[in-house]
Amino acid sequence: MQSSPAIEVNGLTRIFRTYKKQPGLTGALKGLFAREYEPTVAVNDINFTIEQGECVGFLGPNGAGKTTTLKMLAGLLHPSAGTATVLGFTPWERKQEYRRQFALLLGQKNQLWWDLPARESLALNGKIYRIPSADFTRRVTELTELLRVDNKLDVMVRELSLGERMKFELIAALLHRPKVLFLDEPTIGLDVVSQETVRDFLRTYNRTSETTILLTSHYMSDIEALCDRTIIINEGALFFDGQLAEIIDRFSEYRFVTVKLPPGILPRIADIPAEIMVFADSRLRLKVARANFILVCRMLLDRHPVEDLEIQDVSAEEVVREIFTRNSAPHGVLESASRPAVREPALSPSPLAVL
Amino acid sequence: MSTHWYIFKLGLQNTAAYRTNFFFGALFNLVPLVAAIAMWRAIFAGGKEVIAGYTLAEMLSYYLIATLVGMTTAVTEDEWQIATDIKDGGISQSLVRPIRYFGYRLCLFSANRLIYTAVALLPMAAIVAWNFRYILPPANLLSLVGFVCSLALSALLQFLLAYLTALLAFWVLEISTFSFMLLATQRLASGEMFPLDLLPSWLNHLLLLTPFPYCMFFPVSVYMGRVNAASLVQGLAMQGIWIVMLFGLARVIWHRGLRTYTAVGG
Repeated sequence: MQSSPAIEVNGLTRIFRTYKKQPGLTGALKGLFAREYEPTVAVNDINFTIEQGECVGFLGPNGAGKTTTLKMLAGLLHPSAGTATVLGFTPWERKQEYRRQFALLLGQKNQLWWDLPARESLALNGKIYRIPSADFTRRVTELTELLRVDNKLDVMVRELSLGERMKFELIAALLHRPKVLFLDEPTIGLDVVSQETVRDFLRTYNRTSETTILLTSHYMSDIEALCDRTIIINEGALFFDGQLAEIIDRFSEYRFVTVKLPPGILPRIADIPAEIMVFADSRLRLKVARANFILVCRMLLDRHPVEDLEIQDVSAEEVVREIFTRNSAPHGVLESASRPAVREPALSPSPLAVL
Repeated sequence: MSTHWYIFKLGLQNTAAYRTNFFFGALFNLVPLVAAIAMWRAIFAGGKEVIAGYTLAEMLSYYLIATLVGMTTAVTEDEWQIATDIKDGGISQSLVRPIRYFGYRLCLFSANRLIYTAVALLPMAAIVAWNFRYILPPANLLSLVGFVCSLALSALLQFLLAYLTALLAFWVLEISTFSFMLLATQRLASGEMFPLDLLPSWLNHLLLLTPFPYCMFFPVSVYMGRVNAASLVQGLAMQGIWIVMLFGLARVIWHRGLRTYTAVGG
């Protein structure tokens, strides 16, 4: 059992009962006596396994079930069905031994004492987790230096900036060297520089400490920067589990091809199996289905004295956004050809007068 | 233990930030005391030496000691803070860390009381000086020891009552109505407004079966030596029994509440 996975999730499901209010005053009165509840499936039969030391990103739009899943794994929510094991514990039993070995950081809720210097909140965690004092001091120095807040330890928490506060939250969560770290939106509301610092820190921390990290974010860039593996959930269901780069291969059906023609040459592309996005300043931009990609390139090169050729993939972010904007597409539908076109990322298409 | 000691110290620092707030709170809490003193002075000025077994000095001492008991043991901010923690998900921090919420709150309550008492002592001293010739010392050593014990138990008892009320926040959005109901009952039934032996004896005996007289009337009576040794032991036992029962109830309700909490999402 020496390398059992850190997190194992089987058929995890969470159904909320949400109170349905009838419109208007009559509805409110009715609600006083007979409330109507509507079941909402927040997490639907999710399965995954995370090995020790992995850093996995949970990606999904608001309300996709990311935070619900995280809360179940942290023991704050009971599942409606399914099982989960973290470090061999069932999280929602909330055993003290389990609580000593993980940390949960909720982006918008804090554990720091508002009216006291951050140092005090850290010291309290030192006591709660029974960290030996020499170890504690070393750890605080190390972490505050890495996150560049070592000069802010004695400032009242309420006087810290949002970014500084988040950094101290992180430090407070890491003091006891948790084996598993759950981060919910760790960079939400931070400025670009702080986001970058937090990301760099987490990346280094994950590499050097072998801590298993599961983080949610709706910033693609967080996950791109930090995680080798991404789990996408949408509408409560597991949608994708793998490397972010694979998303492009699997879900993007188009590429953009731009060719530069010598001045005065008009493109002959009436029969080319591609969609013309733009032709301006001798540059022709085409949207090409992956299946036709080689063919289209060959046709372009054979027919014109092409000066330059540029190939551009749809970005992962674009693909994911596309996936999210289409509501509840079942797995199969995505691969089908009925899928609407991916929006063009860079140039805004202008009407083509030439052809 | 060291964790709880640390929470207590943090509580002191945290509360100290609100000392001005506390000072004015304490100052205005003394207004009813001044009113009661003035009223009883006027009543006794009518000529009676003893009313319901109290001389003027005893009566004024009763109110002063009662105020002291209230200062050191009454729950002020805690109830509302606990309810907010439940509503806004603040208790999640206790659920994921190896710490128990009840103990955590009890430490903060103790710290609150200490700061509050320290701050309120100033205006209180002024009132004591005003009535100095009427203030009676504790009846004897047993009264003093009994008083200190019953004071500590009274604090725990009041904390539990407030804690239980605050736990309603698991189910209702706004606990202030319940909070107010508790406060009103406590005011009347604990002997804060008048000594309970002014009441008909059947009512007094009935009240002694509830936890309320043990929050104030009992410790004050012990201080004044109006309770004999046997009744002192019995009273302390009653405080203990209520504490154990309410603690048991609080545990059950806490776990029930957590079931709701973890059902709707912290």
